[in-house]
Amino acid sequence: MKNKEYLREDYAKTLKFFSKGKDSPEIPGNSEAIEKYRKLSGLKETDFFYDAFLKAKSTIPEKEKKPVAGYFCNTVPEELLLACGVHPVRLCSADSHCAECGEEAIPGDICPMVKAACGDFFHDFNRMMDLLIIPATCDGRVKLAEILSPVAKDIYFIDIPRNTDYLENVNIWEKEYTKFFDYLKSKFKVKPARREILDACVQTNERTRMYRKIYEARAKKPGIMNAFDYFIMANSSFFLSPAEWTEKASLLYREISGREQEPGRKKILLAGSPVVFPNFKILDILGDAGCCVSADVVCSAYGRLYDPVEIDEETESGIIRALSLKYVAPSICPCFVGIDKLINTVLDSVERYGLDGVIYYNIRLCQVFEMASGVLRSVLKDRDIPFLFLKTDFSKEDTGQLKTRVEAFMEMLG
Amino acid sequence: MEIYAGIDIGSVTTKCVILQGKSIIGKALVKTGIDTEKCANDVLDMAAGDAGIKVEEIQRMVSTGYGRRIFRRADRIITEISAAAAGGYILCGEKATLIIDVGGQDTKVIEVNGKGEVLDFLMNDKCAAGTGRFLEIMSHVFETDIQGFSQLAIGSESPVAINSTCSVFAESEVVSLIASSARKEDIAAGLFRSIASRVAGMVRQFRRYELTVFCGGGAKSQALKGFIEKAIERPLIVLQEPQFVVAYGAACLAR
Repeated sequence: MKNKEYLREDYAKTLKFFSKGKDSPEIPGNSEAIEKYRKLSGLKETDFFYDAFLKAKSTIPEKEKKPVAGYFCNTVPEELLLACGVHPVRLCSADSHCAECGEEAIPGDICPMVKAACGDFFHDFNRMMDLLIIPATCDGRVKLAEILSPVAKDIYFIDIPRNTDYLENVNIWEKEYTKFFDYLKSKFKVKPARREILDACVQTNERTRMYRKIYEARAKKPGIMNAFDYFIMANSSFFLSPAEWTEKASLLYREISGREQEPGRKKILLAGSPVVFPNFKILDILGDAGCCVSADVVCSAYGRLYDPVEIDEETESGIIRALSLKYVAPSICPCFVGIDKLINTVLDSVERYGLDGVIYYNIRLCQVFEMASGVLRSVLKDRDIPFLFLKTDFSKEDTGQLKTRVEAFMEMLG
Repeated sequence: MEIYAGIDIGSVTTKCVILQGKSIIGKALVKTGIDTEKCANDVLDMAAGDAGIKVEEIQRMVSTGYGRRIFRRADRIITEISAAAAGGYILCGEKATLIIDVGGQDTKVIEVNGKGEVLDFLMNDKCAAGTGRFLEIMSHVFETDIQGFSQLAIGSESPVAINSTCSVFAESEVVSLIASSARKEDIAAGLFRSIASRVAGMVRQFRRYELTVFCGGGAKSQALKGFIEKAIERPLIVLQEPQFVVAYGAACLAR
């Protein structure tokens, strides 16, 4: 049973792209990319994460043996899905092949990540998911609910207000999340006990604890784990269960803890648009220029994994409030009001880890990210923190010019 | 005295400057062809000839520009941003705060501190809008070269408004303007003004632009200089032979 049709059936029928799947189990070029980055790794324990990426979509259904729900962005509380016995998969895609497929349904100058998210639905995996959850973050995501309505088995839309001020809006978040939780309970016919929600919070908090250890280690000792490994590890939390991810990440943490830092390397903070495999173009360029991404504040790594659930009151409503504090209140996504939060987060990281500069990566056509960059630039300049703005899409044609900018930035840092 | 060379392999032209101590003893410029490495070698030979020295006498060579990696004889490779900053700063008597470089493929605005070190920089987007290439394409539409095109623009009293900054769309806009019998001078001036406003937009993002140096091939155009000055409400200093500033900066960094 569908929660709601977002597009009338006779309108939906006209969308040819979605009438037939392309059934391709693999995205062309992805396994080559995995092997390329695996070779650069030099770490033993990263193998698991690279392998996980290779077989992610083909193994999840049988491995997890439970309903699967896909979602976009960073504001869907995974804990509520886990408590209902549902396996959550974050579907944010940055695949240029998927983006091209998506153009059949979303023409024109639209954010490539939105197009890729749409194009990803030619996969059987995405189509057979029991539920697709779309939060009201950016305009592109909101429209996806309607465009994907004909192909997704069921869609749930979480309406989050743009104002992320806790005191003003916590009641609205609690209401939205409670409504969502009620929907999950009725859809999957479960009545999770309070204990089960708490257990789910423990699992994601364990994941956060382990992630923070790795984050700190990388920020303090540049070069102990390259940016490709780091983002593969962080991105794989999109589809691995929190428990499995934490177990494997702890092995990785043990391995990198024994490593010595590479002396004399400049440490960079990466901010801005999400870095999601396979679009590691920006990491390739930074790596080629000898730039060491020591820390990040992007939503595909830091933004997703850094904040814990902090429960004051162990009632269902108390837990749900705590979840909204984890997911919405600290969000630095420029879709929301709260540019101060972005600036403070960047300044804190630079100061705490003694970073040498900030690179702000902007996926072309993400207007809010670009708008936020001007204010950030001005504040950082005022504090003599070197700042570089890079705007690009998934294509390769501007690699030369981007390299020149990054190399000049590195020369500037001395 | 020791001899150094700077080679700037740009998208349109390749330049070489040879220094002995602090003075320029030779320079050369060629069009960048298909075989970029050959161009770089040729321009080095020509500059050495101009200086009356043998290439072997050069102690150190620095290459820069978009083709900087192709020249394998270089002792050091730097970006054109660092080179433009060094060149502009030293040539203007170490007083520059901002350097504008309008090249064939890129337009850069670079902020330098009191020691000539780069503090910050901006570069144009990946397309040709606001670059020398744009001017070149437009001058072809007017069946002239960039200098002739610049002269044409200076003769205008009321530049037309050009909306497209994409060179492909601007070309079709210009063709329809010509068909609507607008004055050639006014169309040319409109084009220069549209580039100048893009450059000025970049300049305004910097707070310090008391002493702004203008270099690169674009600086040879009086019309472009005039429109940028009008847009930023500041005079620009154009160095002699502005196309060589980056190569000169590279040679200085070889010292």
